[in-house]
Amino acid sequence: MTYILLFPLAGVLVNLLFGFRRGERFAGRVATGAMGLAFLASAAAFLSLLGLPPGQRALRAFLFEWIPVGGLQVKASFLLDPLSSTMTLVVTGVGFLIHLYSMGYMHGDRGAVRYFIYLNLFSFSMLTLVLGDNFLVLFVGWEAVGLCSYLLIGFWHERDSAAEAGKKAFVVNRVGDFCFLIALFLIFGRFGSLDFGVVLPQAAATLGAGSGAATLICLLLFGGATGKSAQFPLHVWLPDAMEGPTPVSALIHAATMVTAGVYMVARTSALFALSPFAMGVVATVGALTLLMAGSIAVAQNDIKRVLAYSTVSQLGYMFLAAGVGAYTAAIFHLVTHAFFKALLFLGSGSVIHSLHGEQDIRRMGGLRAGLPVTSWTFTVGALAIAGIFPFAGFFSKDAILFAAMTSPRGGLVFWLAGAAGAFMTAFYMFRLVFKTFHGKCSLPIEQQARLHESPRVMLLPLQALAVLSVVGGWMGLPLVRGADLFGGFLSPVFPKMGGEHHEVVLEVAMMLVSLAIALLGIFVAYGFYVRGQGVGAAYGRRWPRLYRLLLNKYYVDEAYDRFIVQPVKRASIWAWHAFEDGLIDAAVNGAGAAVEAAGGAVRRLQTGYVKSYAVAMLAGAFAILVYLTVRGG
Amino acid sequence: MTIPFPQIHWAYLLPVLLVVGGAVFVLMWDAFFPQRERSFLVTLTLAVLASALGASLAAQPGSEAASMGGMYLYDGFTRFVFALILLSSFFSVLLSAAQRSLEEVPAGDYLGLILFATSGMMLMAATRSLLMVFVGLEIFSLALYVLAGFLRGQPEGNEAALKYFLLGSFASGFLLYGMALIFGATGSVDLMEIAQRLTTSPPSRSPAFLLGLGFVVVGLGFKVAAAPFYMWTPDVYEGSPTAVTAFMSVGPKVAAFAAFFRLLLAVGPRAGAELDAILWVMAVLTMTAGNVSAIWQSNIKRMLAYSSIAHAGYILVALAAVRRGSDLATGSFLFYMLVYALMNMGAFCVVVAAGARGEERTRIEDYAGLGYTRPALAAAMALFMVSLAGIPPTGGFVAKFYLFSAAVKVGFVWLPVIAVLNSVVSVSYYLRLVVLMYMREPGEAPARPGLLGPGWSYALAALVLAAAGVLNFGIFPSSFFELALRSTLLLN
Amino acid sequence: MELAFFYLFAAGIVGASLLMVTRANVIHAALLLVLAFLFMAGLFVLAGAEFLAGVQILIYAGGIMVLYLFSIMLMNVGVAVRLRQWHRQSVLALAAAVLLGAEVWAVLGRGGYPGAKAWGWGLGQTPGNVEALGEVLYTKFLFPFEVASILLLAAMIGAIVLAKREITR
Repeated sequence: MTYILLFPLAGVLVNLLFGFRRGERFAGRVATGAMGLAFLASAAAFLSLLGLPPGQRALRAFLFEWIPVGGLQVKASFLLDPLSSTMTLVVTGVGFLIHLYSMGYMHGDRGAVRYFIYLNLFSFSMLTLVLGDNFLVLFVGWEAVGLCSYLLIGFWHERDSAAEAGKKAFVVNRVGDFCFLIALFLIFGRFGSLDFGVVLPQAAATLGAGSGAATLICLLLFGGATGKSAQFPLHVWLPDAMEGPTPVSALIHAATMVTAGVYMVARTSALFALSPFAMGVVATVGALTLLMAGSIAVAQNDIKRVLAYSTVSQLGYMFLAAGVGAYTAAIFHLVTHAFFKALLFLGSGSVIHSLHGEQDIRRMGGLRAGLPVTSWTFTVGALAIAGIFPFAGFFSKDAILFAAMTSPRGGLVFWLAGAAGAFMTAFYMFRLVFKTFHGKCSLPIEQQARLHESPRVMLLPLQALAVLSVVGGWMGLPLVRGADLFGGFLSPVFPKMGGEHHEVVLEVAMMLVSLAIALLGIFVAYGFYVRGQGVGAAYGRRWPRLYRLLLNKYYVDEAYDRFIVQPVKRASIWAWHAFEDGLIDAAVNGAGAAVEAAGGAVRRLQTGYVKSYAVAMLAGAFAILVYLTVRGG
Repeated sequence: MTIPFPQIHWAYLLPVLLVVGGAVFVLMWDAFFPQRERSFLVTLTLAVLASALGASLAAQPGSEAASMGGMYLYDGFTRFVFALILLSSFFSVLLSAAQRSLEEVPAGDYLGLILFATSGMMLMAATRSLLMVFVGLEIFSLALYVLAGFLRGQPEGNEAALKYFLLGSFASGFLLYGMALIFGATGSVDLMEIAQRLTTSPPSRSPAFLLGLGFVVVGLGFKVAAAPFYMWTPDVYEGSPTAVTAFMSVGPKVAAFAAFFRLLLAVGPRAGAELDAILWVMAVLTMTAGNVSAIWQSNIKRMLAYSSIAHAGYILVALAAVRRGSDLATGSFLFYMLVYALMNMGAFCVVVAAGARGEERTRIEDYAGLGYTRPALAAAMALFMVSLAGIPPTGGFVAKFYLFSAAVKVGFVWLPVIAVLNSVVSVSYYLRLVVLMYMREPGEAPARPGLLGPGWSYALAALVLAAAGVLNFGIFPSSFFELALRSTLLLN
Repeated sequence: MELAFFYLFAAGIVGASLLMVTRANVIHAALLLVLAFLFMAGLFVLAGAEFLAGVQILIYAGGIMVLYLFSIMLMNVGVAVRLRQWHRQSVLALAAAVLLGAEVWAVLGRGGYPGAKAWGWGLGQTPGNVEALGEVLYTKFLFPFEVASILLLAAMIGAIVLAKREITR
C-alpha cells in the first residue's frame, strides 16, 4: 500500500535529477509510468481489501513516529479502508489518463518538465491526503495539494491573469485552511489525539450528540471543506483557476483536489452525525451552491468557465448528499463526476488545442466534422453529467436526489433544488455541445482548413474516460437488491442514518421524473441553439438584468472586493503605518503620519525616530508596570 | 583568614572557556600574524565553535548542576541552549565568510567580537543569578553594537549601530533597575532564593517586587523584540551587515528567551498571575505587528526583521504557557528555536549568496525570476519561506504545531487561535517571495556575478546544513523533540 | 539630618545631570558629569559604602572623566554643533517619564521593601567594610567578577575597532 505513494514520489525525484537533462519526452514517460504503477498498486490494494470480510476492511501502514506531543504520538501512518481505496483508485486511475493526455497537450511547452514534476508531486500529495490515518497527515496532504494547485494555476506566469488567479486561489483557500487548523486544535484539545482510529469511534462519547463543541468543530471542518471544494461563499477562486493548463483543470480542479472537501466531510462523518445543525448547514450550502453555480454556467461564454461553474455546481450536489447523510451517494457522485468531468475538460482541452487557444464558444461551432472523436466523447460526457439513462451520472445523481427527498434530514426543498439544478445542468451542457460542435462554423476559413484532430496520445484517454462515463454508474445500480455493489462496499465506513426502507414505486417514479427533467433541459437547449438560432440571445435581451446578473456571476467578486478586500487592505496599511512609525507618532500627528511615512526612507535616517521609539518604550513600560502593580498590589 | 573556594565543575564550564579562549586566541593571532590568510582565522573560529558544541554535547548534565553557588548552572536546558547559540554563531561565521562586503574588514577583530558575543549569550542563558544575566547581556550587546556598524563608510550601518546602542542602553537601564528592585524586595539576585522567599516570606511579594518584575520584563522584551519594544529591530536589521543581522536574529533571542524562561519558571507560579495578561497581550501585539508590517516591506532584510518579530510573538505564546506550568512549553520552545535558527539562518544565507560583489540584493524585487537564473538558490529560499510560513512537511510546521498545542493543553483558547490566524496571514508575504522567484521574469539579470569567489563554499555549507535540517525536522522531528523535552529546567 | 543630606545629594545628581544633557559646550557637560559623580559618591557614603564612594571618586571622577577631558581637548571639539535639541516628542517623552516616575514613587512609597530587615541585604554585618566586600567578591560573586573582565575586554576591542575606523578613514 505504501507503494501507491512511493511511485509518484519516485517520479518526482527521478525527474528532478534527470528530467531537465533528458528532456520533455523522458519526463512525460517517467511521470506517466509512475502514475500507471501507482494505479496498479492501488488496484492490488483494492483487491487485497476485497479479500477481507466486510466488517474488517481496514489496512494500516505505519511508517514512523512523526510528532510526539507529550504522552501522545502522531504517527506518519496510512489507512486503507473502502473510502480511501475508492479515492486512490480514482486519483491514480483518472490521474494516469490525464498524465497520458498531458504528454500530448504539453508537447513543445518549454516548461513541460517542470509541469510533470508538479503533476507527480500533486498526485503524491493527493494520495497522502486520502490515505492519511490521522488529521495531521490529512492536513499535510491538504496543504501540499493546495501548494501544487497554486503552482499549476500560475504555471503560465507570463500571463498576468494566471499569476492573479493563483494568488486568488491562495488567499481564498487560506480562509478555509484557517478554519481547518482551528478545528484540528479543538479536536486535539478535546480528544487529546488526532488519530482517526481514536477520534471517530470516541466522538459520540467525548463530545455528546448535539453539543455545541461538536457543532463548532463540524462547522470549522466544513469551513475548510468550503475553501478547498469551492463552495459558496468561497467558490470564487475555482473559475479563475482555469488559467492553468487544461489537463490541470481536469485533474486538480475537477476530478481530485476539489473533491478533497467532500472526502474530508465523509471521512469525519462520525463527527457530523453528532451535529444535526452542522449537517443542515452542509446541505443548505450545497444546495445553494449548486443552484447558484448552475445558473451562472448558463450565461458564460468561455468553454472552460462553463465547465468550472459546472464543477462547482456538481460539488454542491455532493455536499447536499453529505448533508442529508447520504455519504455513499456523495462519494458515488464524486467518482462518476471524476470520470465525466475529466472527460469534458480533456475534451475542451482538445478543442482549445486544435483551435490554438480559442476558448470562446461564440466563435466556435460545427466542429463535429473536424474533430470527430473529441465530439462524440464530449457528447458522451455531456449525457453523463446531464443524467441520462444509462450513463454514469444518471445513477449517482438519482441516488442523491432520492436521498435528498427521503432521508430523515432531507426534504422537498432539497429535492426541488437538486431537480432545478439537474435541469440547468442539462441545459448548459447541451448549450455548450450545440454551440461548439453543431451549427455553422464561425471560424475564419483558413483556420477551418487547418482544423485537425488531436494526436493519438490525447484521444486515447478521452475514449477510455468516455467508456467509464458510460459504465461507471453500473456499479451502483438501484432497485435490485444486492446490485448496489458500490454502496455495499462503502457503507460500513459511514454512520447509519436510518430510514433505509423505501418503496420501489416511489423510487422508480422519481427516476422517471429526474430523467424527464434532464431530457427537458436538453430539449430546451436544442430549441434555443439548434432549431431556433438566436432564441437564447433573445431571451437574454428580454431580461437584461437577469442576464447581466448571471453573466457577472451575481457580482460576488465585486462584493468581495468592495466589502472585504479593499477595507482589509486599507486597514492593514493603516495598521502597518501605525506599527512601523510608532504608535506615538501616529497619535501626535494623526493623519499626517501616513503622509510623512511615504517619504519614510529619508526620514528614518534621522535620529528623531530613535526618540519616538524610546517614547514608545517608555509608554509600554508604564502600561506594564501600572497593570502589574495595580492588579498585584 | 581562609577563603572558601567556590565549587566549580570544569567539564560544565568548558564550552564557555573554549569560546572565550578562542576569542582571545583569534585576536592574538591576528595581532601577531596579520599576514596570514583570512580563511585560516575563519576555519579556526569554526573549529572553536565546533569544539565548544562538542564539549557541551559531551557534558551530560548530572546532579551537581550548579557551579559557583548557582552563578553558573548547567542543566539540560543550558545544554540545549548552548547548542542553539553555538549553532547560530557557527552559521553566522559561515555567512560572514561568504559575504563579499565583509572581505575587507579586519578578520581578527570581527571574529573575536562574534566569539565574545557568543560567550555572553551562553553566560546569560546558563545562570540563575540576575547579576549574571545582566553581565552576559551586556557582553553580547556591546559586541553586537560594534558588529552592527562594522562596515565602514556605510551610513546605514552607522545609523543602525547608533540606534541599537542608544535604545539598547535605555533597555539595559530598565533591566538593571528592575533587578535592583527585585533585590530590594527579596534580598537576593538568585532566582532559586527569590522563588523560595516568595513562597516562605509574604512581605517579599511586595509591590516593589512586582515593579521590579515589570522592569525586567521590559528589558528582556527589548532584547527579544517584543511589542511595544521592537521598533529598533527593522532599522537595525536593515542597516547591519547581513551576516551580523542573521546572528542578531537568532543568538540574542535564544539567550534572552532562555533567561526569560528561567525567570518565569522561578517567579511565575507564585508571583505572576498578573503576568498572564501581560504576556498574552505582548504575544498578540508582537505577532500581529510583525506580520502586518512584514506584508508591506520592499526590503528583504526588513521583511525578515518583521518576520522575526512575528516569530518572537509565537514564542511568547510558549512563555505564557510555561507560566501556567505547561510541561510541553519548554520543550516546544527549544525545538521551535532550533528550527527557527535553521530556517532564518538559511534565508539570510540566500540573501548573502544572491548578492553580487559589493552590492547586496536587498530589495524584494531583486528576487524576481531567481528561480530561472539561480535555480538551486531559489529552491532553497522557497524551502525556507515555506518553513517560516509553517507549511508542512517542513520543520516550521512541526515547531508551530508543538508550540500551539502546548498553549492549547494549558487551556488557552484565543491565544492559539490568534496565533494560527497570524501564521495564516504570514503565509502571504513569505509566499510572495516564492511567487516572485518562480512566476516573474528576471529583471536585468546580473548574470552569474562573481559567485565562485572564496566564500562560496562557506555559503554552500551553510545552505546545505540549514536546508537539510529544516526538512529533517519536518519529517523526522521525534528524536530531537524528545531531546528538547528532556532538556528541562532546573532551579536548584 | 541624614535625610536632609540624602535629598541634597539626590537633588544635586538630578540637577547636574539635567544641566549636563542640555549643555552645548562639551567641556561644560563633562565637568557637570564629574559633579554628578561626586554627589553620587556622597550617596554611597550615606548608605555606608565608603569603599564604593572612594572608588567612585577615584575611577569615575578622577580617571575616566579626566581621560574624557583630555580627548576632548586634544580633538579640539570645543562647542558642539548646535543640534536641534527639542523635538516634538519631547512633551510626550516628558509626560511618559513623569508618569513612570510617579508610578514608581507611588508603589515604593506605599510599601517600600517590607522584607528588607529580614535578610540583612546579603552582605556582611558591617557593610562598607573593605575586607567584607573583598571576601564576598572573591567567594560568592567570584564568577560575575571574573566574567566582568570579558565584558571589559569586549568593550575594549569594540572601542578599538571604532577608533581604528576613524583613523583609517
